[in-house]
Amino acid sequence: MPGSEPTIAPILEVRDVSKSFGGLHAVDGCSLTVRPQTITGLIGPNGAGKSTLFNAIVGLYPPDGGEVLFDGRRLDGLPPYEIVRRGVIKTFQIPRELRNMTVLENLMVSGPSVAGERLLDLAFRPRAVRRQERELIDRAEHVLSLVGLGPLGDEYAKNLSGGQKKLLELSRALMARPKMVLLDEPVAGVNPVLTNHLLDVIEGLRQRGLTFFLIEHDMDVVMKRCEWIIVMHQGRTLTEGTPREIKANPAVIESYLGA
Amino acid sequence: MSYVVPATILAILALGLDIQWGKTGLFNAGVAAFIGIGAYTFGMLSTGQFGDPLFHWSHWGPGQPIDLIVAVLAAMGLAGVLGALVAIPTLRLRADYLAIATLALAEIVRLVLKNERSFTGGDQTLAFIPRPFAGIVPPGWASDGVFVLVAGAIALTLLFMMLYLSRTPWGRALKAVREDEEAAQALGKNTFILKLGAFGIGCAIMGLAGALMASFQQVIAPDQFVPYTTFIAYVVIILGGSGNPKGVVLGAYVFSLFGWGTQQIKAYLPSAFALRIDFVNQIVIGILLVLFILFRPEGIMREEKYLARK
Repeated sequence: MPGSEPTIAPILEVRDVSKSFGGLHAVDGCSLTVRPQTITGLIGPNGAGKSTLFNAIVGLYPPDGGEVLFDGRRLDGLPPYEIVRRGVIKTFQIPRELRNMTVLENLMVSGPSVAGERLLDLAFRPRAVRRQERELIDRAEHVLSLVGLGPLGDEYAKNLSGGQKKLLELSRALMARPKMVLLDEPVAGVNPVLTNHLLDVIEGLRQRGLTFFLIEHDMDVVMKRCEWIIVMHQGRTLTEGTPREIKANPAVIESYLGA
Repeated sequence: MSYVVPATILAILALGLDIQWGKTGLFNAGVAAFIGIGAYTFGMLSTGQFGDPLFHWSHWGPGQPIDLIVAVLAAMGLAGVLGALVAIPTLRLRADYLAIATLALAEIVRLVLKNERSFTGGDQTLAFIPRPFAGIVPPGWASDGVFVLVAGAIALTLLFMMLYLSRTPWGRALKAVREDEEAAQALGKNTFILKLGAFGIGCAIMGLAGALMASFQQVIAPDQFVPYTTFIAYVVIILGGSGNPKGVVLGAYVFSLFGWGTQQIKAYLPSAFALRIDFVNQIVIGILLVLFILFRPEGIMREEKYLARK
């Protein structure tokens, strides 16, 4: 049923969110919803406010106004680490690898409530810390092999190629055991073969219950892999629909041409 | 003795700074303040002098070993708490503000120590600070020897603690803050708490270094805590290897050897040159620092790579 309203309760709900930088209204009263267990695409011309919206959702740029609800609970106003704890994590458009740490460390540091990040744990629960470290190493190695970075665990993150850094971003996000991952251009700069592999991995995780919300400029990827697409223009939602509907919508093409 | 003990104290100081700068990337420009607080807290408590030493003797009396331990803990605690107090408002802001605030703090501390004469003794120095086991060990070489053991044991303990912490999840999270604080936040780290912890602990260790310094010298004066002291701590870390506790300790001994060596050859130099050698010394340190930053920024020993051991 084309154009029908989503009937399942949304996992993420953005209500009238705004974020300005000085006089620039990057996100200007944006509202949208993302359904659970979907791969939802967020597209729009450059400067539409997509990345800023992502940063507002995960608390890196606290929104100036509006509400963000995840699983029915408010996220806005919470610090970023608390939002990760609630199960929402974001990757960066330009990879922000922790350069002088190994790939394995990059993964192990990810995620909320790692035992032993508090000094009291180190003093009073050394065994629990050691056990968790072993588990973290195992899981990190598993995640790395999943995205095809298996043999690079002991390499410094700064030595990875651009595409590999993208994979590192994704694998770090997965390490945190999220319920929902916001991917900011996850495959830009990754070669086509790897891109397909990566998208298969994402699809597999979706089937296992994760929700993905992704910004992507590669229309092929968006049209083939996303089941629902939201179009942003000038800081707010322009339209949304299935890939077929979006392709046919003249307003979308207009927004891209700068009309 | 004029080499080993100051070098060991410098190593302890540098280990404290290494948690802040080497591991967490916090630029503390007021190291001198925290050594100063440590030195004066220890000095005043262990002598019982809270005022003009010529007129007001406290009833505590000098040289009680139990007092020394309490005094050391107080020195560490006060330096740590002061560090946290400065850090709380500034750590939330951009990185440079911490540097500005700590730099200002160092000068405030020094000027207060200098001017509150009725409290600290001011420029007339705070003297008769006891050494450990002063009642048992006679002054002179025996006392020096005991001090080497005490300071060495403390430095070694700290070194092993730092080596251990470097491998813990806590140490790893600190490194993440150093590498990219915003990324660390996005990965779920409460970076403020991590920074606050690293800063407080680092300052407490600096306070410990100050207490040892006061006890070893037995006399302290406010002008020992000029910004140059802070600079030396950074030189040691950059020389030895930022983020590598072993390298930092090595750096302290190498750096001290250089200063001590030039003092030793003074006697064999023509007097006109001997007078200038301290200045030559500082020029050489500056050149060395620039060369290291240009050609070996990781220092003598680079930070150890984490390799998973199951």
